[in-house]
Amino acid sequence: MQISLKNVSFTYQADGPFARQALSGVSLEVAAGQCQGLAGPSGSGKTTLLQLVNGLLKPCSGRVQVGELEPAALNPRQLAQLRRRVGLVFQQPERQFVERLVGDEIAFGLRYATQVPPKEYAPQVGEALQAVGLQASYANREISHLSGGEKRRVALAGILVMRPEVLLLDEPTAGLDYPAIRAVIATLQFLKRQGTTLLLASHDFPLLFELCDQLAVLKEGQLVYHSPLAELGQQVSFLQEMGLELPVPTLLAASLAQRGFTPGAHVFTDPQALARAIREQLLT
Amino acid sequence: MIRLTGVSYTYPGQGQPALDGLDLEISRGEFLVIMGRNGSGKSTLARLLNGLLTPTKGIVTVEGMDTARRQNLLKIQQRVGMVLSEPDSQFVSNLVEEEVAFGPENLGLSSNQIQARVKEALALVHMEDYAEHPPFSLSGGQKQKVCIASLLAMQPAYMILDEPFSMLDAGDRKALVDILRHLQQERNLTIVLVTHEVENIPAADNIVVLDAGKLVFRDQVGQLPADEETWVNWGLRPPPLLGLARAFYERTGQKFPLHLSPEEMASLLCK
Amino acid sequence: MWEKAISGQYVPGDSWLHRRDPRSKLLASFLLLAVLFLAEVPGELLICGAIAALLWHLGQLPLAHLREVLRPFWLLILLVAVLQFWWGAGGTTGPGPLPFLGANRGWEAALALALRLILLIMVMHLLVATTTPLQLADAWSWYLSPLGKLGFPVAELVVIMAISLRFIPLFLQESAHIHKAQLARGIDFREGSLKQRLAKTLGILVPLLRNSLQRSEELAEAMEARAFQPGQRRGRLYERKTSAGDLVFLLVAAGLLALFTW
Repeated sequence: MQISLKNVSFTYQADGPFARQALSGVSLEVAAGQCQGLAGPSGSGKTTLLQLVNGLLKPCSGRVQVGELEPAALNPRQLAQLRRRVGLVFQQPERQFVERLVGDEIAFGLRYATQVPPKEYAPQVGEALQAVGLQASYANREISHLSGGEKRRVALAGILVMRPEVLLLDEPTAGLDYPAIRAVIATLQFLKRQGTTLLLASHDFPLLFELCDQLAVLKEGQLVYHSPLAELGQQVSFLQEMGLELPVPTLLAASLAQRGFTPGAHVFTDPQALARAIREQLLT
Repeated sequence: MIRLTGVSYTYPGQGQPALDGLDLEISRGEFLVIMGRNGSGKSTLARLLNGLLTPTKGIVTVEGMDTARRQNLLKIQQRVGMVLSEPDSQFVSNLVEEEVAFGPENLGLSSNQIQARVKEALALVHMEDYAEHPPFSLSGGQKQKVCIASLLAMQPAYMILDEPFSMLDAGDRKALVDILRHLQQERNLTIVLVTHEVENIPAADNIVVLDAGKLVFRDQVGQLPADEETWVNWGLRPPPLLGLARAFYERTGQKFPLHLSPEEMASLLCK
Repeated sequence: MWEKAISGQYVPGDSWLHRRDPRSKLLASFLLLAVLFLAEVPGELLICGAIAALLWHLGQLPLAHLREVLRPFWLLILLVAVLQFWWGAGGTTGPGPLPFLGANRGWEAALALALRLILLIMVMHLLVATTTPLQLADAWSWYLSPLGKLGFPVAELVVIMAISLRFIPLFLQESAHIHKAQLARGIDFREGSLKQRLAKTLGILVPLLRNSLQRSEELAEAMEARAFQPGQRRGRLYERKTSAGDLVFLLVAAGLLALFTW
């Protein structure tokens, strides 16, 4: 399913004296099966944008479409159905756990949002666990005994069990340590291979560089940048002027490019490739 | 100085110790980063430094005072301040000014003293204009600044921060690290930053790495291992230019200066 | 001037009301509440209205705030007024079917009750808008201090009260957030049998409760790290000082009370 935003604006509490404009005139197209990165500092509107795509919020102006559907035009029942196909993983999703056991928590959505019969829960929970890199035996473990990274993956599994065609993620790696981050990346790569459309909002650039095909940047509610990731190298100084804190290897690649060192577009987003290129071409 | 000698800590009901036989000294005025994966014992170590936890084996002293003795606790908590990762769970008040006053109030100071300290603390974190705002309406970075100010108002000699940036973006993190460095340099404040984010390394003087409750590295930043395997074994993200640093060392026999700006690095490499 | 004037939230300022001693404000507010319910229609009630308006002005609160403050209560006020209209018993004296509904029915009584409720909300908001949480807590602890001499843990109680209040906005924020998160899983709260809908509601209550418990543990740790110990002698951010204005305020409130009960 593809995602489309056309000239979308959104203001919180628009009808009161405390209105706050979160998005203005944002247009974004995400083709089916693509991984779209969404970067920007906190408060730039990333969370708002994600919630517009799955209908938790309705745009004040402009149009949001997911596949053939327009979330703003759906009634609550249709919205609930849409959200089984368009999953949204909030920040720190482990704060929403309801059940005590891993298997019950993952099956929560199946139990209350689908017509899947209870005897089907176990195999589907098993599949979801596998997708996040956890063994099927995790289903019987107590959530309170899990590490932060495991909890995050269980929360992810709880969304994946619904088999969404589109997955929206809000800061999926925030608060996780490196091994847990690698596990989440592995899951997202698996989903990419399966053809799931991904919209990834994060300020973790290494994550975005590793996974995304396209990168969009929000600043104070406006879309200031939208290009394929491969073209990032040409825009580094522009992005810096926008106030974005790019990772050091990217900045190094840009400084080197200014001095005529241009081994290829990949060095801006892949620190290993950068190191290799420098070793082979500069240090010999 | 904070000194740990043969310190072990086992949580009640657990079989394995979270920290095992730790020896560590933290000097006045240093900027120390304590790294390790989740579960390595970092947070336990942080809480041992200010007496929130007392060791099940061994002894922790803060400027000679034993943290296990109740009569020392108030003094220790004044000397050693602690900031946690979730600001919302630390606020006791609905007004920034009153939040920052909470610590000094606990110290039994006079109204004038408290007001002066609150003003000074807020100025140190550039939040003077927000004195009458409610903390919950602030952004993540601003909330952490208020937490830091709340500790500064107690005029500690040591500041422990346990994963303070985990929910913040790079811009906020940079601003806060600058504030911490400034405090270290201007006020001889000892900063102990407990984190798993390797981006914080350049700001530090010294690094400690914990793995499964044991101390596996304790040295200056420049002495950190240059091979990725060690980092991955520690459960930490290998610092981004590690591969480059190793290649540079192999080619030139010199250590690659990772603390330089990208511009400076580029001109160095092009020579 | 920052914007979030929600009902029950302190509004920073330096007005005459802001500068009053919190202890006198607390007492005067209660006196005024008593006055409100003893005032008879129409004259005395209108005097109360005038006093409330005067206080609103003295607090330098903009009129726009009034609308926002009353917004959450309109439905309740309407409901109670309608009840008064239909079910206030006939006659001029004697209790009605429900204790707070007074004795008369009809337009007059309904309007009077609505006005009383509006003025009540205004007075309470005035108190909270011009007095910071710490000042209020301090005022309470001064009034309760005789109990302290009897061994009652007044200071701790006041701290607990202040902290609980401060968690209310967080609670509301968090339950809204959890609600959204469950909606995002495709859960339709309105659909299904009663049993199913109750189970879905647990989907909000359970995480909320668990998170609150976790937060309170973290908070206890943070407070301890800031040298908080129950039973200690704590300093105060604000000095307690009373002035002539406070005396005037109290005298007026007490005077009205005496006048109306007479």
